[in-house]
Amino acid sequence: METMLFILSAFSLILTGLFGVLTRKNLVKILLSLNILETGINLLVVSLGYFKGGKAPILTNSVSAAQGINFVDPLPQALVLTSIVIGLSTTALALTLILKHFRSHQAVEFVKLEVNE
Amino acid sequence: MNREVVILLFPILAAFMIPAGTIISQKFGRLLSPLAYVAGIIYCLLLMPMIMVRSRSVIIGNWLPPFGINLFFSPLTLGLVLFIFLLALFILLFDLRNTESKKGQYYLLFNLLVTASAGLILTGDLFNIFVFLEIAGIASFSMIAAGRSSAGGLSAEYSKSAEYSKSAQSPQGAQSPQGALKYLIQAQLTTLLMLGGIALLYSATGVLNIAFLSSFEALKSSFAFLTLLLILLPIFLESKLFPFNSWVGGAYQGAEPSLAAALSGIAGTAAALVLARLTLTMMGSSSAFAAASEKIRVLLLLLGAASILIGEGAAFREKNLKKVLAYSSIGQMGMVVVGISIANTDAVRGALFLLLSHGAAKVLLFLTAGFFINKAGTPFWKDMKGLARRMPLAGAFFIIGAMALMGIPLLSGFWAKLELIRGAVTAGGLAGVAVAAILLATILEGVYFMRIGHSLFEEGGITDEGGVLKEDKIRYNAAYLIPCLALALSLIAAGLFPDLINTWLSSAAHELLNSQTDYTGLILKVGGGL
Repeated sequence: METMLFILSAFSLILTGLFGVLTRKNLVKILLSLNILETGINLLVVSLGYFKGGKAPILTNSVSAAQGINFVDPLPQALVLTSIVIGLSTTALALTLILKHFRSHQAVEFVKLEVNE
Repeated sequence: MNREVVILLFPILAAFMIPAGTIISQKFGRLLSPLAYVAGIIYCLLLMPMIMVRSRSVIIGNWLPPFGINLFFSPLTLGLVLFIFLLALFILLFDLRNTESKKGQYYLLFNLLVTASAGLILTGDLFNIFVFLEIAGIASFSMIAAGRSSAGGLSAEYSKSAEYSKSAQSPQGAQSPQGALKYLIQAQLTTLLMLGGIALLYSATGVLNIAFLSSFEALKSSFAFLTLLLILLPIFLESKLFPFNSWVGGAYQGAEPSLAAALSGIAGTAAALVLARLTLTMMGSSSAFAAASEKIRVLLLLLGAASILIGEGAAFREKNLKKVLAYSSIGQMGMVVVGISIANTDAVRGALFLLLSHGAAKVLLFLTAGFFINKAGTPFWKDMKGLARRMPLAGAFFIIGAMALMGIPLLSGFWAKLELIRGAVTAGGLAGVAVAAILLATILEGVYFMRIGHSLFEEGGITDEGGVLKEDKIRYNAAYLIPCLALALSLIAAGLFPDLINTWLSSAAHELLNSQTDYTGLILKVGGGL
């Protein structure tokens, strides 16, 4: 039940993001939509490794490997960590580029360049 | 200790030494990077005899596949790594003298792009492909945005054409990161969808290793098609396949010529190999995707044929020399994709040969175009009239590169296209469409390249009016001559003696087409199974 809920919310985030990317003109809004899409995908990855009653996959002194049989799948979480870091750096880079674009065109939309386009 | 992994260390160490070295001198990165590739090339050559005898799968960090990452070293992958290292060396040599002084950090990004491309060629894990795609992407977006303008940083006195000087006067046109932004948004969207595909695939199979997926219980047809399509999207984008190629014009126009050469030669080669790996090795008859393989192949064939026609058509209409070369890249990559989709020995051999021939020819052409653009002060080929009369050697390089792309006999492209077409004719059926597209594209290429070549050698024009080109400006420098001479001679050598790389082509095509014996078996033996 929880997994279904996670997957449903993941897909609604993904679709919201896709809709934003496809319909917005404002570059900042496109970037925001990309981030919503990314959050949705990350949630999807984590939720596919989750099951009801699963524990955090961490071995400590009190939890041995034998007891840890009901751990949730750790691999999707590792993937999501990587993906979050990548998403952060791309977002930072994109914001820099948008700033540079704004400084030269005074616009946050794509502009038509007469000679170059 | 895995001796093979050291290959990836050359570019990555060079990259991370650059910020420290830049404190001493801004030239540090520019001087260090070529040395790193010389060392890398020597190391590749030392490994080659061992790998030629037996391919090896190297496990990273003692995590056995499918949980860990493995790098696969075979004649195909090591040969392509050697090839992109060579191209990187040539491009960096050109950069030593012929471009506006770039900041040290530029070379950090350049080395990261090469590292990521080499990683894409070597890796055997889907999520690792995603990570390397992102690294290559971030490096390319930043480098494109750092480029000056369509003409690559020209002084105003050289801007002759009325059109061009208009854009040079308004700083807006010159500094725009618009091309980079368009590329970033499209690449980011497709890589995120790829991650979604990876998640769905993982939920169904529990493995993300290409070798494991290539011998796995078959998934349901429509599910396999959906996940594979999602995973392939960013690779379609990187290999400039229609309809994912609208970023090409803007990005290549913003990039300096040496960067355009790197994007086309290095990143393009890596993307095409990943495509071959995913659709040939990972899609065999006993793989998880067996049920969808026929649909994916047809899709690839049609998209490839469409990109051939659209790319060459766009190049035919284009006035900006760098964009002509960029659009012709779309067409050439389309031919490679068609070869991969046909999936018989002849076609795959032809596709690989074309990949090498296109990579070398495009680097030669972009470097020569950069030389011309710098001398003429305009990005439009019509305004370069007569330039090659003053610089016959550069003109000859341009013609050699163009003829290699067209596939004129005695140059490498001829054998590549011949084998590709032979494979397509053997396959029959839909592949006939591709044959028609390739032949039509060859005619188009012939027309537009000869038109440019003719204009370059025409009498009159830029050299006579107003003495734009001073005598001392025409001197070649070794930084331009050595890479271009090497590239032009290798194109001719591969055309005259195609047997030189026949052994390599055969083993490479064999590896891609017989994944069970040449790829999967080797990795599963080491990896130990689930």
